[in-house]
Amino acid sequence: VHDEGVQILENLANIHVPVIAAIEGRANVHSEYALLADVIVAGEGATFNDLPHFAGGIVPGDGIFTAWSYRAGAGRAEAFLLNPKPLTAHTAYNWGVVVEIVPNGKALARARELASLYLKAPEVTRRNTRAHFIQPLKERIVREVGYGLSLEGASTADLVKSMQAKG
Amino acid sequence: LKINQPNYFSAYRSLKVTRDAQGVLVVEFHTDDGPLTFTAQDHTEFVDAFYRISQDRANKIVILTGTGGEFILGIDFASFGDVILNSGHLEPGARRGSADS
Repeated sequence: VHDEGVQILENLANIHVPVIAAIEGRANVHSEYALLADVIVAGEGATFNDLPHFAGGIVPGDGIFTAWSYRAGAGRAEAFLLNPKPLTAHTAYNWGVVVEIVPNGKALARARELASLYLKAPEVTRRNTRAHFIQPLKERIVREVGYGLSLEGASTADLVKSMQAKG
Repeated sequence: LKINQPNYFSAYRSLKVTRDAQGVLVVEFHTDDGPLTFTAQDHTEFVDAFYRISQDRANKIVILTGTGGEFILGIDFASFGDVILNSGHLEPGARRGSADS
């Protein structure tokens, strides 16, 4: 799980064409996948949350902190991940994470429109722009997520041990 | 269109992958065509999926989205059970049966 967790994010970061996330409804788990997109379009009822980590007793070390910290700022990311509850599309918009809010059910259609717009750029320009934009986040992923997953794994092992001790 | 689609498009249980004539690749997360409940198998498969997507030069734009009005709804903690026993690592917490509250 540790190796996979690092590789999933590195492989997403290595997609060198523009990536658009179209979010409807709840992004309860692994919302960092969406935050590795260049732009996020969300239906107005969309929400972000982090169910698996602090709320469940383990460290949010798999890259969710790195991605939210990069896009929203460390203070917002820490407060969100220490007290996970549904974060509305509008809040995410105000934080600069979501760039467009559309009526519910229209996120994918809007993403396709943006895709058509981006396709007007020359191929190498399109690829290299994505490579340039993702580079700072990719560097943070490489630096932070291996250690973050080790911390998460250690917290999990401790939690499991204490649960087993309680029987 | 389907005749020329790469094998990886249909290789992953929880990803529906389609591409239009302009090279816009749409990756939809799903569980049985409904909202995705993330499992340990998905964790393994997504490594390969995103690698292949990144290497396929026919993909000109990538769109990530969910299914059934949700992006990623929940997580199947039980599917990660072997991981706890084998390595002490666990991505999700072990205490919740369902994560869609």
